[in-house]
Amino acid sequence: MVKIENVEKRYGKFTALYPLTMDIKRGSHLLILGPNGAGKTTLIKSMMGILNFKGRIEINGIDVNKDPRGAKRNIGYVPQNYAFYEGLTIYDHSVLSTRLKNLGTEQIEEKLKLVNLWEARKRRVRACSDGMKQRLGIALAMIGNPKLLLLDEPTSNIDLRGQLEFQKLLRSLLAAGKTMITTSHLTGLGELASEVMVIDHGRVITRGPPEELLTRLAVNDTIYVRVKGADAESVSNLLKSQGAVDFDLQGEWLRAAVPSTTKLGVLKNLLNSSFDITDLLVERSEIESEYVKLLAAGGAPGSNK
Amino acid sequence: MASSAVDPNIFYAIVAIAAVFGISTIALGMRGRLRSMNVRGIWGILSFTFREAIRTKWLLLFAFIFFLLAVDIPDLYLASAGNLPPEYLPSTLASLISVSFPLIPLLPLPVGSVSIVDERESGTLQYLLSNPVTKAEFFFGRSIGLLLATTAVIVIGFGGAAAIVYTQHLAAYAPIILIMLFAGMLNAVMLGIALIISEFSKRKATAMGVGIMVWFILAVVSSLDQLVISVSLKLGAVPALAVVLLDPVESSRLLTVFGGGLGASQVTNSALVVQHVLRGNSFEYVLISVILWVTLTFAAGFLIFRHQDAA
Repeated sequence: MVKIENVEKRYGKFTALYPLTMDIKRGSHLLILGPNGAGKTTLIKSMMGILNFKGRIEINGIDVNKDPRGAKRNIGYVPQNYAFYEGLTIYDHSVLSTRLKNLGTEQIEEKLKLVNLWEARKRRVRACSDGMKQRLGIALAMIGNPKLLLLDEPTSNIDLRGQLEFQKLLRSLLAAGKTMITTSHLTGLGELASEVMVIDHGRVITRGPPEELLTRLAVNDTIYVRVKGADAESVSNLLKSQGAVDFDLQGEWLRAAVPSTTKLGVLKNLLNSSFDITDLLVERSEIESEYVKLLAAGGAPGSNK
Repeated sequence: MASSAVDPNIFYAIVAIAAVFGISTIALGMRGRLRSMNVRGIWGILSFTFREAIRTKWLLLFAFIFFLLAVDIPDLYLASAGNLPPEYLPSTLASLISVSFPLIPLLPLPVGSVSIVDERESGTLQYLLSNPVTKAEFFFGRSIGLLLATTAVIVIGFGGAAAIVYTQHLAAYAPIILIMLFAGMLNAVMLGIALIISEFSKRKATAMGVGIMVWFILAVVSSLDQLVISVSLKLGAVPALAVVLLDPVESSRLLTVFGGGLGASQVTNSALVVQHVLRGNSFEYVLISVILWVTLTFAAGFLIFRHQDAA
């Protein structure tokens, strides 16, 4: 769906994006992680042809530089900072988008209903909340049914409820076969991604499926065991013998970090033991929190540096 | 008047080269793209730009100012009493030209100089260009939208006054239409310059300041009549002619002088220089010069925009 060949972006002597080559498959979801200024938005804007760049980007087989209009027909873009004409109503903005996409207005109702904005269509954009603007951005991006969605920090301006709604929407779009590229500096989108790329200072640090990346990073999951006080030390010893670290006992709850690769074995042994375990919780490590550790370490196994 | 130091043919050659450059830039920009053009997209940008621009208080104020300048209130009193002197129209129009032409750049310069930088600052340029619209289509839609809005102000101001005052005979409308046409051309030149200012500016406030400064230099600070005499005495008439034609405000004003004798009472040193060098073809060459101004400023604006990052 997306073919990137030696794409590089410089501002004078400063390199915002070092030469990058990659393919993104149809129907996949690439999550690009990295701190602010890492080069995530530069890559997205290059794909849109908004920034001039060296190299070649093809969207659905169309060269962005040679036929920007054709390439952009395949893309729905939700920018990092939603910029709208504040004086327009939601509906008028949608009409403008349909015109820009060389389409009629038939799709507007469907798309605004999809993001629950149809009832508020007569409201001016300046009177909308950040969450509504974010949903409007998604609706406008969806007009024309693009095959590829580029979502730049899509959850940066919305509250928890909005984030959950957004994740639900993303799931439905993925189920509908859309290809998605999402950038984030810290969100809960990792579990929806088929591939994760970590980028910093314009360079790709690591890339791969989230599970593989977590394994490669030797990530620990956290388990919470509710156990009678007298057994806590024995349980700790059992877990320790199986590679668990970072113990903490609070009341009846014993917390420990267990390597995600051996987690299942540890849990089986625990449940088969004679200890009086009354409850058990497992907290899966998220790729987003692990990438922070990765950046702090200055690289990763399998790095593309 | 000093004799010509430069062969006029050199001047004509420069004009021809500039014409070829401007026209070929536009032709290359459009090459092979006319058929696949996103006409609805261009219309969307054009109509939106027009609607937003025409609503601004600045443009409404200018429509009112142009109306007041053109309506000439004392004549209104006389007209209402049926006492207008037979020769009132040429003198009214001559004074209208000399007063209104230096003000015309104030219409497109502030509006045009903020148009692109404002979109860039607010992020809406990114929104527009994330749709299947090319930079050329955006530039085209934006330029024409602004051109129509600013030209409408001139037409409403002057035309409204004409409809009220010059109602005695139809022939009276011809000169005012010519004035509107030449004022519209000056407006187009200034809009082209304003768009270039906007492209190079990092901030809206800077762009606005530079726009006003350009107007100040062209219309207020530069004493073209004195400059033309100095250049003419020192270098000859052809360089002096170049000085005149390099000032779009004066060139446009001269069009009204040569184009219909409207500003005959306003003949200045610059008009004399033009007549001395170009003789019977003064109007044609000044017209070409103003058309070149329009073509070159928009061609340069387009080329700059195309090679810039949009965000």
